[in-house]
Amino acid sequence: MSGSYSIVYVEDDPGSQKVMRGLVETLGFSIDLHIFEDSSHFIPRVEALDPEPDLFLLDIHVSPLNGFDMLQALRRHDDFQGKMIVALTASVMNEEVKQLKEAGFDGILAKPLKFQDFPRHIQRILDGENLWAIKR
Amino acid sequence: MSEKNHNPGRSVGIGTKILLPVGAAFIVFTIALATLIGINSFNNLTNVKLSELERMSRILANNVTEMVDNATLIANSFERSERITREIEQLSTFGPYYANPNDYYEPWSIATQWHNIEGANQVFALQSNLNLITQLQVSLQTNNLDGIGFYLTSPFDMISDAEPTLTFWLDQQQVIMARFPTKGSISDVSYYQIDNAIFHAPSPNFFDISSVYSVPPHRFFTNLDFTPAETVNQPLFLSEEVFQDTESTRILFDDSLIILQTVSPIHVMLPHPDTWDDTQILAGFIVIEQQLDLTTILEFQNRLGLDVGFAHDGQIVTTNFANQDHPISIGNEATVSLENEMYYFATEPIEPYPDDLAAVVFSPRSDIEALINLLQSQIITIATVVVGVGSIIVYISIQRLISHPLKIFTDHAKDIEQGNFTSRVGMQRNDELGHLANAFNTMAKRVEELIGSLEERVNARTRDLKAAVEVSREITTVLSLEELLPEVVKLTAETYQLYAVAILLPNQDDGSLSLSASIIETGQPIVDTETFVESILSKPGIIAETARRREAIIVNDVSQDERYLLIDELPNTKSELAIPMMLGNRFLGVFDVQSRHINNFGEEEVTALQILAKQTAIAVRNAQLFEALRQAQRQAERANQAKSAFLASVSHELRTPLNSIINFTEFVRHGMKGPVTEEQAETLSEVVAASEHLLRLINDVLDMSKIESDSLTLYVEDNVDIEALIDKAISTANSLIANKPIVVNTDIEANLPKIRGDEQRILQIMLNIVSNACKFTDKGEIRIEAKCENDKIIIAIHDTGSGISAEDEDKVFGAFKQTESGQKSGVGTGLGMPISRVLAEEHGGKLWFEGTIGEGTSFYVSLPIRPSHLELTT
Repeated sequence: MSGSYSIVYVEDDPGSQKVMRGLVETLGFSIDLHIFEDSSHFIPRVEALDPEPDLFLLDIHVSPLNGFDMLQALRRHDDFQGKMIVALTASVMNEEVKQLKEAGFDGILAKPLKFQDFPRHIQRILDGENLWAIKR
Repeated sequence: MSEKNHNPGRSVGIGTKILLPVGAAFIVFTIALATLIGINSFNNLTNVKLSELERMSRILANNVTEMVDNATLIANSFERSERITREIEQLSTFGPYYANPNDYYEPWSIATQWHNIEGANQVFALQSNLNLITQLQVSLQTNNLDGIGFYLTSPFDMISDAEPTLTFWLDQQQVIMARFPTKGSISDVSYYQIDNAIFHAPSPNFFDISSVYSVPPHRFFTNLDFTPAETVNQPLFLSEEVFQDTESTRILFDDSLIILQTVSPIHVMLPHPDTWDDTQILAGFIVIEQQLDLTTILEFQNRLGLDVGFAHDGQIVTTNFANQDHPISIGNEATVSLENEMYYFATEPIEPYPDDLAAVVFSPRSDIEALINLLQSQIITIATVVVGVGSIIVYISIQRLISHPLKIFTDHAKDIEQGNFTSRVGMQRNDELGHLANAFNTMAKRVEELIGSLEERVNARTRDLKAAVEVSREITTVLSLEELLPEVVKLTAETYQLYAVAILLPNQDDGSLSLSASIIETGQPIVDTETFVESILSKPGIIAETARRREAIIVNDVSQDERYLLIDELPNTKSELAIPMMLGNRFLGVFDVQSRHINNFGEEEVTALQILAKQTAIAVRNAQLFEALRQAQRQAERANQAKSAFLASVSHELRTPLNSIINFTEFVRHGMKGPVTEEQAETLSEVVAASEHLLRLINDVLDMSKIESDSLTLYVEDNVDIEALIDKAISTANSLIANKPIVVNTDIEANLPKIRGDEQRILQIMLNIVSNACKFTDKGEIRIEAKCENDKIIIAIHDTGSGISAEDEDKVFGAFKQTESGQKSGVGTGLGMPISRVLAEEHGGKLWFEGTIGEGTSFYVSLPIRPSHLELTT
């Protein structure tokens, strides 16, 4: 481990994947970004990662497991239950945010992501802060 | 009849009614009698008392006379006593009056100067003195006298006219001796005294001449321990009136003290100095005093059991109880007032001083009055007991003769009142009560007959009401016709014991009737509904005609009515009633009932069933309306859900590509995909701005739809920092004014409190206002102020833009509306302000503006610091 962070991002939209790759470049520090295009074999794939991811960014509308399913799987897993798990979604209506919070997510990042603010937000999340009000 | 009249606790029985006046009269009579007896008795008792007092006063007077007689006897007894006369003889022979002045010795000086005693004479005289004192002392104690004394004459004295002179005096306290230092003179007389209790005379042998010289001096001293006395209460000489050679008695008054004094002369035999012949000669006087003092009077009082006293010269001098300072006169009245109380009294002169002393006995008037009162109260008590016992006896008699039979009547009347109409009075008497019992029973029989039929009618009515009530209940609880109508037909059939009940409703499309609910005797619905309906429609039957005429048709004998249609399932119908179910002019169906009996539907049944039909009509209508409403609601809900889902989906589906559009543009603009010219970068900025606008539009539309569907929810937190939000708004403003000559100023009150609310929504309000201000202001100032006022924070955003007039209020706050300048500007969604106002109101605050065309606009937002209606989002 070289002092950098490891992030898993589950996202089926190719555009959003590219956006994340671009935004990660704008960060002032290095990130091991692992993008899963779907959620098949989710846990084995996460377990295969070395080092263990520090942060999970989960889109909600993915398959076969949706964001809530993945969250539950991670929370049940001995190694990952304490990790930061943040929803990265375009479903940001109040009721939807409430559902995410109740399900046990550690925060939310809303699509569209904001170019200028992204580095600050991701830093705060990595510092363990629960962001719920980052919306546009 | 009200229940009150039957309350036995309040009723007054006949016995009581009769007894009350009789008893009262008795009591009045008794009291009057007692009063009369009292007045009469008072006089009688007073007389009795007065004669008793007279008797007692005589007894008291006699007592005192006896005292005096007794004293005379005692005094006489001294002359007869040899011992006394001997001593007096000796005293007269050797006494001080015979002594040579030079030979005269005080007895006590003998004690100290015994050796100077020159003759036996002195010793004999002294011995006689002391012996005589002893004799008198014994008499004093034995007879309980108050005083006794001896006055010595000088039978052969040189002073021929010498008066009897006090020699010694004894009372209960002391013994007094007189000393005459000079023979034949009384000028220097002095007295010596010793306590009576201490004095003991020496034994007769003590002064025996042979032993005189052998007596030790100290024995004289101890036995004769006299001390000088200043004065003596007794006169030195006996006064002339008693100084006679006869017995006498007299009375002395010393204030309230009455003293009885008895004087008795004593003669002795003495040798005459000239002739030496024995001569009977007056040698002295014994004086006895008896005092009518308090002790004596109390003794009399005890003896007589009455208050006693003594009077002198018409005035009460002393009594056993009253300490009057002044003598009280006894007038001619029967009573005398002493110590503030009235007394009856009687007086009796006392012998031997009938003119000077009278005995008085008293009795307080109150004693007699108390006696009278006692007598009266006893009379009243006895009379009361007699009246009470008499009343009870009379009461019981009345109870047995009148009240008890009346109670029997009352009980039976109550029975009838409570519905037991078979109740009869079983009383066999030949008097008025017996006749009353017969009349009562006749009446009860008649009532029973009347009530019997009434009861049937009431039962029928009750049944009708019960059915109506139950149907009403069904109507209010059951709104589905599928549930309601079977219940109604069932209830109707059961209540009226009908052969069949059917409800037919018109079809929506052609108005033809169809069987909606039915029941036959078996409790089951009609099975062959098709035939039933067909039959009623095929010919002009009763039901069809009812539907057509919209009037009830009563067929009391179906065999006589050609409209009746026989149905296989209902072969036994004898009468039928068909009622149109109407609600105003609206025809809702037919309510049809059939009976096994001819003439089953009388007027009352028809009325009751018509009410039922009416209620059913209401229920049918309610159910139809409810169904329609429910369907409309379901549709609305479905539409709303669809709308929400659609909007959520739209939001999601638009945001996802916008994520790419905005960020890819940013990547290129920031040179991440290769170098860009300034012009290119500016164009790309516009792409971003346009995309952001699109995003805002999406947000606004979503908010608006939430507001319209009433599903807007706030994300409520504590400690929302208004100042930080204003900072964000300013940075947005700065980016928006870009190149325009506008200054952004702030005036924020220090220590602005943090508030409870939805941070993003409050920011949204401010961004909406600030972006509008930037949009509509070309030059000048945008000024943001914030202050705390009462429990609210007031945020004001002033601009120097084109201004909005008050008339444009509904355009500013109406959804999808813009002011003229707003439309001209071509920016904005027209949703920002209405959403902001709702958001402010959702926080319990307000949003308003003041403006003037051409000068600028001020928007104000007020937000409560602690909105009580907002709960923290968990």
